[in-house]
Amino acid sequence: MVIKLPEHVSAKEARTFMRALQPELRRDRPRVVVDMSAVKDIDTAALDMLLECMSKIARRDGAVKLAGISPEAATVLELTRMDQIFEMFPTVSEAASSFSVAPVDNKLSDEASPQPAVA
Amino acid sequence: MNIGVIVTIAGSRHSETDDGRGAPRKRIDNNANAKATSQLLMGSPVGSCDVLGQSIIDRVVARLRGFGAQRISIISEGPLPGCTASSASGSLYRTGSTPGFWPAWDSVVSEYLNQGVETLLLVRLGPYVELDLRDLLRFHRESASPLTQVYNRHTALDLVVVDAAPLREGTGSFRTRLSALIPQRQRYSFTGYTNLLAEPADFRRLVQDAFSGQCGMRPVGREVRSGIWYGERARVDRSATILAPAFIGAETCIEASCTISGATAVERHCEVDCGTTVDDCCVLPGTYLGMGLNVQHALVKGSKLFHLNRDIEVEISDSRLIGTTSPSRQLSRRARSVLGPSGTFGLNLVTRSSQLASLLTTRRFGRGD
Repeated sequence: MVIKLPEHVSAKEARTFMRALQPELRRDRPRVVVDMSAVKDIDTAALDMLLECMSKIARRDGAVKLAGISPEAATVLELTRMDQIFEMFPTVSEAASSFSVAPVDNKLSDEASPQPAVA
Repeated sequence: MNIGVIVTIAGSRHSETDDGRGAPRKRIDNNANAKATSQLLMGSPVGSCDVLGQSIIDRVVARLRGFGAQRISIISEGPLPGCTASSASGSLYRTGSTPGFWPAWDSVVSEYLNQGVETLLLVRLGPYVELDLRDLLRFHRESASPLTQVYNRHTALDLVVVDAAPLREGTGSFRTRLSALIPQRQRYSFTGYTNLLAEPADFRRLVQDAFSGQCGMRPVGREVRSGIWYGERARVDRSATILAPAFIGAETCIEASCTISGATAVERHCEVDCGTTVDDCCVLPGTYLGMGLNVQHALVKGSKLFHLNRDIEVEISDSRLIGTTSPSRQLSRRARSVLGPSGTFGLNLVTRSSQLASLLTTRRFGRGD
């Protein structure tokens, strides 16, 4: 699921975002990409919502990724240290493809990885 | 030295028809034309901004006074924040907004000429130049030209010395008479410290140069440890880490577990709230930085943050992140500084009633035993 955030993101927009996310949250392993390319201003309520979203999705063994982050949003994410919490990608497509590649690769590598030889 | 100085604080482009009421630009733009003419730093004239405890204009005026210049007038091309008005104590002070920049400029020149001034020094801030005024005046006298303009290696600086005599004799406005002298100008090559202050990164570089001693600016405050200066009544929590070089301005408060590093200057009346890291930054006066933030490579002024690496100015509307230090915040900070480091009412402030209460408590415990 890809959700695009508007130019100004505050408590009101955060609530709308959470409502839009509800169907995805009922699924197993939800995958959410938040498109932040249009964001010019984001406040603490919206950042709090992103964290809550990440927490809820993680509980269902899913992941939320941020994509196309505008310089303004990047500045606020860095300011609030949230750049260290979220996975970030230059574009939505790169964020989306990271979902399809990473879990499959891990599984394959787990199965195909050679077992250590026992002397 | 019978010299009259006019210091112009660059604030916005002024033209032939300018009445001084031009809207200020948002910031020092990347636009090449704006670099030469605008010189606003996050909405304020760069000359009015503090660098390590003193505004650039104050420093320039002090430097000129050091060379014996007594008649100094300051004219602003745009509105000025209140902080600079006090800086001009003892100087004639006019702003460019009323009655307009050029009429104000003409009126100052007229006054100087009536007072018998022989030489005028015109300085526009603008660029910060650590000029040797004596050497410039000696060059001007020896060149026998009515007008001398200062140049550095790359460009003309907004610094001109002009004889009063041809201004007295000419006709039309003083500005017109000055313009008529330009073809006769001599170039004075200046090789000392210059910072064009054309963009926010230049302002940051000025602070770094002041820390490293590459320019003559020195922090205003006491050096509490090597390379760390505190302004008057600066309050730094014991658990905060301050890494040299650093400047903490007057009445600024650095709360618990903060880290200040990377040649950061936190100017006067600021508050850095608990757990925040400030690295490679200039925090301009009256700024509040919220809890647990990571502020790096930036100039911050109130709710505006200019990120030097991204070359972008962001206005943050959420005052819990960054904003201005509100009067109530300043009051509570003042109260804490009066009451002691823990800031808990009744624990550090010893009054007669608190002593009595303490005795009563002891007696009550005593009875229990």
